[in-house]
Amino acid sequence: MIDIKHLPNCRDDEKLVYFLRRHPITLTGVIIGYILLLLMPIAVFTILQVNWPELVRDPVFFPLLVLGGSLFFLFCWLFLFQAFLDYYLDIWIVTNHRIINMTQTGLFHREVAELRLYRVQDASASVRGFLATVLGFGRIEIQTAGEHAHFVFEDIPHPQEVSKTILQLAEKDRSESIGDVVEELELESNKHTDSKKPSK
Amino acid sequence: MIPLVWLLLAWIVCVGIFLILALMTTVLALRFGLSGSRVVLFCVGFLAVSVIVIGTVGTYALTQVDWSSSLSVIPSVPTNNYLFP
Repeated sequence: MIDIKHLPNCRDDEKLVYFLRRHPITLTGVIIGYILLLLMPIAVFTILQVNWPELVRDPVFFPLLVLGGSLFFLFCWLFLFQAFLDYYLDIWIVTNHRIINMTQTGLFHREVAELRLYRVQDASASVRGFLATVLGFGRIEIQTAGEHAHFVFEDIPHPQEVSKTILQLAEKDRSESIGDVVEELELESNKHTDSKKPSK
Repeated sequence: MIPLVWLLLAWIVCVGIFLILALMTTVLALRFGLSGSRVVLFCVGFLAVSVIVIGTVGTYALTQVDWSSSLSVIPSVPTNNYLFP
């Protein structure tokens, strides 16, 4: 869990409702694949030792095998850690006032988007597939009135429960932030009339 | 013939590239991993395994291998003529 006060533009009355990541099972396939790759140098060495023991005792070939194997292991280890970070740094935070969506793609692509709850128009949850149904994870799509047409929460646990809570919180935030909503609507209508005025 | 020491230099360059990427990945994790101590633990684990592997292989390479020998790329031609003895 995180301390909500570390988030930018945090209000005094803001409370953390959900701190969500993808379900850990979505990472299992990647981790098993990389573990098999990490074991490859050891497997190759064992096969060589059993079938061609003279190669393993060779003073030129064996050091090359060790250097090559170590590089293979190190880069697999690095890519495994990066795959884990790709999972670990994709975060969805729901507070009583807003939704924050942080997604990490590779090393150099990070997106942080924020949505005020009163802008939420609809939240639909879907669970697809055998594993998702059994383990209870799925996707939530949030329709908004803002620039981001919709927010997507991927493979999160208990999507129905979360979407229901988001809609309840949105309703509550709309009633609490009526001033902000009116101000925003006025601004939007002003923008609209300005753009319709003929330029002289 | 390729001097074996060239391959050692190639390994050192590759390990250097690995270390740069590992450092960038760790900085990224520490900067954006919001939940504090757990992400530090993951980074320490990742770096510890990397250091152990590089240290073990490096020590082996520097102390146990004769780097003055060369690697023959073209296999030597057999001296016996098996087809027409």
